[in-house]
Amino acid sequence: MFTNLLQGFISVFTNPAVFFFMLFGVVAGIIIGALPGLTSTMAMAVLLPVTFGMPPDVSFALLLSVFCGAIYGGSITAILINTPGTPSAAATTFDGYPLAMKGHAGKALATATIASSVGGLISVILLSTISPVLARMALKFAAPEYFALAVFGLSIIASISTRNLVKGLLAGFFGLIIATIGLDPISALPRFTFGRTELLGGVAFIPLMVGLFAIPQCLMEMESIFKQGEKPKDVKSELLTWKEIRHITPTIIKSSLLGAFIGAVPGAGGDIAAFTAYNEAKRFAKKGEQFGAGELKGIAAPESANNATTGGAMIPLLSLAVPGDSNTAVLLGGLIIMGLQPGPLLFSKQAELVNTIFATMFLANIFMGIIGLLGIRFFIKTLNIPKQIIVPIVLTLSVVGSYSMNNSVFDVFVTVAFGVIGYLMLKVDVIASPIVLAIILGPMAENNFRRALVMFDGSLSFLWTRPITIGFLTVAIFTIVSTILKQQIFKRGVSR
Amino acid sequence: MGRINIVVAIVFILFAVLVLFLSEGIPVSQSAPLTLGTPLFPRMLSYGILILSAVLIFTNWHEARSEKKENRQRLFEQGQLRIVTIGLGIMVVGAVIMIFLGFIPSMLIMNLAYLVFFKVKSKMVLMLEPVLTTLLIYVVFNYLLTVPLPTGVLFY
Repeated sequence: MFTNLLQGFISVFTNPAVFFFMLFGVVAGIIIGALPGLTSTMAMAVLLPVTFGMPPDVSFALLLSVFCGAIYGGSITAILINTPGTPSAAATTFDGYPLAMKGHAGKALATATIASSVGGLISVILLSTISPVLARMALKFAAPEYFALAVFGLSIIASISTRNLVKGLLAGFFGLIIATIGLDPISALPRFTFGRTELLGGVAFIPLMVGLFAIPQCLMEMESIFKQGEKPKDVKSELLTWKEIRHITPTIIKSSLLGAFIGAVPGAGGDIAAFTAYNEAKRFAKKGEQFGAGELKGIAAPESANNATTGGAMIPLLSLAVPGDSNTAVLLGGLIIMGLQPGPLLFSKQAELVNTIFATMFLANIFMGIIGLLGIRFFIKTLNIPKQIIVPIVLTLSVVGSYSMNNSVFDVFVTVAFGVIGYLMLKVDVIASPIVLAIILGPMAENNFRRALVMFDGSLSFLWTRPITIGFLTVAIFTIVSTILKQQIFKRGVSR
Repeated sequence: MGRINIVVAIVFILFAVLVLFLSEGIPVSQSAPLTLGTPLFPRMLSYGILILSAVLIFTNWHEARSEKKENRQRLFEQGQLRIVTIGLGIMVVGAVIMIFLGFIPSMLIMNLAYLVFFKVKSKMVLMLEPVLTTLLIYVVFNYLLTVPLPTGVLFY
């Protein structure tokens, strides 16, 4: 494995074009990821035609670096302005933004940077060592397993609804109903579309996310602009201490492994990995760790997991020619355009290219970490910009971000509508994140449940006859029950 | 918070009833017996919302009844609703005029409107912020990322 990686490093360092485009890709990826509305898939799809004239190693250096950089870049705006740049950074807002609001934006960004970088590195190591084994395991997933994975993901709603479980569940159910808007994927019949063609594909995720996170935040900032005597926050650019790094290291390693595995499961991307890792980190929280109020582990877990999916998603792509998510689907397109056939033969026929891919991803994650840490001082300066200026900028970005996904003004109005909903939810203390989680996982749960019913001739036996399904459902039940018990114990403690 | 929670539960109940009503109009496919049918999932979720809302009302009933009038939490402080309505209104107007005027003029107007609304006095800020924000975003999206931004129907 190390010989292969070494060969890859040699080809990267001896080819200035590979090295240059890797650095360019990381910077471009970070910027694109930080812009709400622009996803890593979109960035790669935009850059794909640019790579047509490039040799395969150079073109992959560019695409993979953009991929890694964009997943990390989403965390910057999630932490600084409570607006996740990409869907996979939604879970980072839970602790990232509260920590930034406490004046520790530097620590929050440093945690996200280190976790993202290490998560990516661990996933590349896994990719270059055990990819065939993991790919075979991931391919055992059929409709029942995907349904169970979605249920497990949805069970996270219970653990993130710390203040009021019932209100969190209500938000989750609301999100699940919103997720049913559009064409029914099994029968292709319309549901709640009101004759609008824009709704046939469902409510677009980016406008909804921008609406639920960015708009309510801007409205709250507007309220504070008109409040008398509001003092500007003291923002520190301090980074992490060694003690804090030691504190988050086990979480980063565990979340990275989890993220790499989830990334290897086709169809389960960085957003699911980030929420799952956050939930696991919270479930094993020690006394005194306040998740949801600026806990470093609450940033480290989702960030390491979502970046670990970059390597994880490459596992089925390279070893079995199965794209794990939309990003790797673009990469698969790139491979085919270049006349390369992914799959087991790629490792023997194009060993040099495979080694370069591993080395590029490895180095891209290292450079991403360095660039991210160097950029923290500049990133946090956004918090010093007066609210009167930052609010119009964020709202303009929100309009553009929601418009750009489908080039549709309708999506801008969707953003405004969910902005109002998000603002009212903030006022009545209902958290918005269960809606996001439900919209990501709702279609996956419904489609696969119904597919599983077809597979098993209408019988529910798939729920108790398949080991992976049983495993996920057991953990889901355990997550919900343990959350309820924890809340009961906490309430009793408070009342005493 | 007891009273607010009950209001939240009532809003969710109304939403669930609306979904149940609308789901009556969803067509049912031939494969319905095996795949549970198109409207079943939203209906199940609506029943879930009704049950959870009932739980929320039940668990907050006592607290809501014992809340004294002077201790009741207010959702909006004085003037807040006006601020939020104007703030959202500017955004909606910006989006509507974007259809007719295109991205650059509409976002210039939207940014300027926000600055005036926030009572920004500096002429430098009033001139530079709308122009720089709009043009920078336009260049990045339109040219660097090749995302076509609306040109408007009036000048197209």
